[in-house]
This record gives sequence, structure tokens and C-alpha cells, in this order.
Amino acid sequence: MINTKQSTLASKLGFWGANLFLFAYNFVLAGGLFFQFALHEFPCPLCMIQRYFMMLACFGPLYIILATKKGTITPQKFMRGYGMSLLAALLGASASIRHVLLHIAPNDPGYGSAVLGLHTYTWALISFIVVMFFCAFMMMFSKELCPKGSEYNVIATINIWIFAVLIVANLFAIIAEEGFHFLLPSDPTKYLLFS
Amino acid sequence: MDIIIMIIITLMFLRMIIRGKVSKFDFTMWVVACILILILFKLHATSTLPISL
Repeated sequence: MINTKQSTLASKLGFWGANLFLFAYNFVLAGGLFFQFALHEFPCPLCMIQRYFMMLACFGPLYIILATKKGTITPQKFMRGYGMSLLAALLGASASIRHVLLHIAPNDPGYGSAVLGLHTYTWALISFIVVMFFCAFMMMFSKELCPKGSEYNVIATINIWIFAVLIVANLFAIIAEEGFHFLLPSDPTKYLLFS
Repeated sequence: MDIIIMIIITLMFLRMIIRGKVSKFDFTMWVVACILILILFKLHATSTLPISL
């Protein structure tokens, strides 16, 4: 059923909220690729697991944006999308917490470089917590914030395709890093595909 | 195993974006990817944490 009612301020906020979510994780995933290829810091297995859960968390806003584009968005779909994002963030946070605890002992240098004093896995944990609160808020007010179907625009299209490019880039990156091995080494130092 | 997971995630998202809609198959792939990532997490979580109560 196509649903293109007149959008309200709240429904526009709901649509732009989904875009902001997707854009934020586009930024984080791009940052991960920057650390890997510009700073030559290889992502460890736990780093990759956190990346996967970030990608899975983006399913929710992407589902909402695509349903808005088709005009089939409903409050139920809105809640379903953010529910899936909430679950992915919860699981991702568990991986981040383990990663933080592995390096929490005094004088432990941590894994990789720090950004503003915190390592990337700590920032990942913060991002998952923010996502959990964001999803909870969106779900609580789903009736008001659910898009009406007329909010879709070219900025959302660009946002979606940037995400697609980052997914494909991560696929090539993991193929290069893992090579023909079943698992990544705990402390990767080279691209196994080329060694 | 990471490559298998990324292939599933890539196919799922590209299928959604190119078709412009989300089907039950995409939800199923999401669940499969979630389960595989949890298995991978368990496979890698072999060392004890350097903390004690």
C-alpha cells in the first residue's frame, strides 16, 4: 500500500534522523578504512566484529529510508527497523566491552592509535551506546516520528550509495587481510592474501 | 569466516539498495549474519581477561 501523506515536522525529523544514523556510521566505517590504509593499522578480529555489528545496525535506518522512498513506511516498519539496530548495537557493545577489558590493565598501551585520548574500540562502545539511546527514543515516539512517505530526496540517495561503497570496500579489505585463512590472526601485521 | 560474513552482508545490502525494497530474505540474511558473527566472536574469545574481582 502506497502511503504518501503530507509530511509533518516530526515525520521530517524522523526521516532525517534515519539519514543522520546512516551518515554517522558511514563516517565511522570510513574512519576505520582510514586507520587501516592511511595509518597502516591493521584491524584485529575484534575490530572487524565491531565493524560487522555497525554495518548490521545500519540495516534499520536503511530499511526505513527505502520504505519511505517506496511510500510503504508504517510505524510498525519504523519500529522494526530500529529494533534491529538496537539488537545489533547491543551485540556490538558486548564486543567493544570485551575489547576495552582486554586492554584495561595498568600500563597496557591498548590496540592501535588513540583519538582524542580514547582508542577506537572505546569510541565504538560509545557509538553503540548512543545508538541504543537513539533507537529507544525513536521507537518510543514512532507514531509521531514515522515518515509519511513524501520526505525522500537526493541527499538520502547519496547517503545510501556512500554506504554501499563502504560495504564493498570493507569486503575487499577483509579479503586482502584474511587471504585464504579461515580466521584472522589475533594480531595482524600484514595482508595475508599477498604474502 | 570473516570473508563469508562480509559476502553475506555485502549481498544483503546491495540487494536491498539496488532493488529498493526489503524482503523477508533480507531479514533472514541479517539473522544469519548475526549468528555467524556471534560464532566468530566465540571462536576468537579464547584468552582470559587481565582483570579479577
